Amino acid sequence: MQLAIIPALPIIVSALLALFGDRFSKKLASWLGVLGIGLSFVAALGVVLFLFTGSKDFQAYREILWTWIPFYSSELDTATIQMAFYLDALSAVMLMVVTFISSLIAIFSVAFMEDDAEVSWFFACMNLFVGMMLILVLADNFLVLFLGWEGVGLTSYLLIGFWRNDILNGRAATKAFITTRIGDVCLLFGIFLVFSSFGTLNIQEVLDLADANWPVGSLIATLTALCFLGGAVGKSAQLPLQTWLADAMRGPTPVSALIHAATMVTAGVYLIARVGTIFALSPIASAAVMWVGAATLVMAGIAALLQNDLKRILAYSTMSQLGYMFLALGAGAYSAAIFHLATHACFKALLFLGAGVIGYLFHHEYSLTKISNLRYQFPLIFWVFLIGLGSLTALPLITAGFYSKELILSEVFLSKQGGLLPWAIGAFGALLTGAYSGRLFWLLFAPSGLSAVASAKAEEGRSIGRCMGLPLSILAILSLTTGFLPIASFANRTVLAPVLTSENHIWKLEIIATVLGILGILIGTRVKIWKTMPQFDALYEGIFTKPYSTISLFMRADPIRAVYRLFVLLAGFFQYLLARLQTGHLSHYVTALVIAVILILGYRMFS
Amino acid sequence: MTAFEWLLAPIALGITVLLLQAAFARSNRASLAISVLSLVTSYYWGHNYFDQLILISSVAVIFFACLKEGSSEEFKILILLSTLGALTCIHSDNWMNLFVGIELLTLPIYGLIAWDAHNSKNIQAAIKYLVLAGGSSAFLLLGMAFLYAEPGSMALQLGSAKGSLLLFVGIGFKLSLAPFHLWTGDVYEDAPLPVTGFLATVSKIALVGVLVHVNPTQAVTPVLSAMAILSMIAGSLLTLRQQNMSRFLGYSSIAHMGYILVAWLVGGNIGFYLAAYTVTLLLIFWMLSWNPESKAGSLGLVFGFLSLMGLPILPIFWGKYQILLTAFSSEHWWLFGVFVFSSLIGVYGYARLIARVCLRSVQA
Repeated sequence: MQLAIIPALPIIVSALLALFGDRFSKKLASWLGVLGIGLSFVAALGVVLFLFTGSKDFQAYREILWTWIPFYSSELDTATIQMAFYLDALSAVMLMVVTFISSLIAIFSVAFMEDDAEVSWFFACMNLFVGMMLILVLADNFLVLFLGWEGVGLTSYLLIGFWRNDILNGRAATKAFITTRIGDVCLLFGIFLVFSSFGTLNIQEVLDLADANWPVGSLIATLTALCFLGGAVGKSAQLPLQTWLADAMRGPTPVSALIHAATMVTAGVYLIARVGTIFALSPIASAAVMWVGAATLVMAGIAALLQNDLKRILAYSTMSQLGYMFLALGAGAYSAAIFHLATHACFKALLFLGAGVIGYLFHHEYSLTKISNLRYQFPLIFWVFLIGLGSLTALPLITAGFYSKELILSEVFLSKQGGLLPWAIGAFGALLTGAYSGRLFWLLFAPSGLSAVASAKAEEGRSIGRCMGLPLSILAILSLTTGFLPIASFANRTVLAPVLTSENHIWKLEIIATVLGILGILIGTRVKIWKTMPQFDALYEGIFTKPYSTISLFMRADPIRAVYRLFVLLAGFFQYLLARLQTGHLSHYVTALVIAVILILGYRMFS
Repeated sequence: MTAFEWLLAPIALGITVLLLQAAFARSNRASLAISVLSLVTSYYWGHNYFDQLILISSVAVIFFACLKEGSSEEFKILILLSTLGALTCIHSDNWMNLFVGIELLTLPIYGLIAWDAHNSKNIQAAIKYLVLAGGSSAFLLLGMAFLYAEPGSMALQLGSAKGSLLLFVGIGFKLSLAPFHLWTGDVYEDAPLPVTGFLATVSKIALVGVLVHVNPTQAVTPVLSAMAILSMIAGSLLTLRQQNMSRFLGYSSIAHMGYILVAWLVGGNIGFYLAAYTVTLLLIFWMLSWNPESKAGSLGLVFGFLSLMGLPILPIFWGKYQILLTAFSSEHWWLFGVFVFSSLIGVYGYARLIARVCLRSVQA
């Protein structure tokens, strides 16, 4: 029960809010929502502390709740699928990140959503999201994982389109849902491959069996790993399925902070780390992970430099940082990726909540052409962005981002898969990160502002209350200090297959990367507001949407329908014949009776 | 007294009392009480699945008749007599009793169909049923004669091929299996509504009860398979454009009796299907007799038609599902295929009817 209670709490609260939310006052509903997530954090903290401080060599804890899908056939009795949860160091890190960040963001949302008419529905969705994310993280087998995986997809859809009066929000939500669905299909195929190979879905059993039975570089291992990569790419908005994330920013900002920066989008990273053994068996798939990450981090870094919208810049920055994590995963530096996942969750949540404060104060206006010169007006925002962007750019020694990013770069350089070129791309990424962070900072806080007009006015009577200040302060502190936590070595307790001994810092390389980052900041402050932005969507429009709609137009007449038409015509014809037999004349009926009897007896005579 | 006699005694007593009451003190309410009491007492003695279904249906039909228009003692006497015949059918262990039972079941129905003697349509339907059922009874009797003559025993065994085929002409007529289905639409449409309900439930259950007494033999299987296939297809096709509710139910009963025949041929579970079908029909007739145009009435009708359609999780679906499973595992591919196919065709007709019900343009 200990593990089950962690996802159960938010799900129960979610059901309560969804069913009876309209009977609660707004205040009660929102604090109930906070309570669900907060209690889940407390429970998670208790479980993790209890299990991991209990004994030094603690490895994993499994909890079987009930048999979900039984198989009665004797050959497939291992295939019985349990509703079961599994906790090891890897899921413990994710568990803590998810519950803790969610609790803070829930508290922030109380203030952010105070004027919204559907607060209870918002918190219902948010609690459901947290519950589903925890199911994903704690899953003991692939089916439970897939349940959580689809659950977070659904809640992401609901929350992106939360303000449903604007059709554009609905479109963005649909886009996110459908794009990630493409990845989900890949993931499903991966699960099918695993099941057909081993006849079980239990993740740990599958990993052991794969390690024992699949030779390194075998086709099946590569295929399976690539399918999982496809799923991860969709969820984590990597190339080529990245387009949905920027549009997902139409949702409420706390949602962007929680789902589209700190937690859900890292599910792909978690998935790859979880099935790392399979990726270790396939050099091709590992290389694919690495190059997907490298390509995304450069592409998204450039895209972030070209945006004029605060939240979209942060969205592209998220993609780029996820690219770093994929780079590390591909190089085999799993613990470094998880480390960066944790630090990134802190400072990106901080940045998004900072953006949330701006949206709260400025009528949900996020365009950098309209907001500037916030330095003395709102010192809190200034400090939030200073710390957040500092951590993002990995300012040396004092920020958390520095430690995780440098760990990634060093390990990529040392790894057999990686080497100089991937490292150089990562370092170039650092330059880009510096550039877009510097530009963002400059545009927000430069004394006179680069834009001539600061037209947006702060809303009357709104100030930054305790509900906003508290999460921001905690996250700011964490953005500076998580780097000192031994997260990487802790995550390494779960044997993440192709082990590089973690904590390899190569100081020369780190200095180069840091200098590049700072250089980037200097460049960034010179970059202005852009008039036009390159459109990735246009590319996809040309490659996929246009041919698709052409085919659809062609198929509009529906040639296959003719077959069904034929069927209908035949049915109609025979119905007509049969109905003609119903003459209503008694003499006809008697004749028919006699004829039928003669036929039956005749059949008897001649057979 | 044997258990069977205990079963029949309350009904026979009820009929006697009703006759006396009709002679000396006519009262709708008293007659209702007497008839229901006798049926319920009989139900108390009943130990057979089919008995219970028949008695429940009879009580329900009496209630429907009271809902529609007050019914007199004679109506109830005829219903009780027919029920008596139905019970005799089910409990008979030789051809003689069976024939008496079937005729006792059928004879009161002629009177019931022609109940409203001022309505020429009723009379017309009654005459049709009289002539055709009489004709089919002749074949039935001839068949029984052969079945007795060849093995020399009255026991219910299909010893003679000729005899069994003729017997199934008679049973097939009563169950309105194709090609003996022609009367169904006309009689269902023109008979008074409660009587249609009686025909659709009690008379069918009794004959299915007879069916389960015997097992299919080599000689009859091909002919009966053909009849089942024809019934399923004809029934489903005839419902497609049918507007009249009673006639629609008649046609749909052709298809459903085809399904039951399939169950019998493949050795599937008839009991559950029959119960689900009966309950669904009683619901539909209840709604039709009560107030088909009210909100609750149309809701009940929609529910009933969805069940008849075989929509999953509704009762008839499970019946169909069990039969299909048996047909599949015993490898009766033709019966299986036509079963599925005709259920598919039927959906259109039911969906149309449901749409009409929802549009509040029901003609009962």
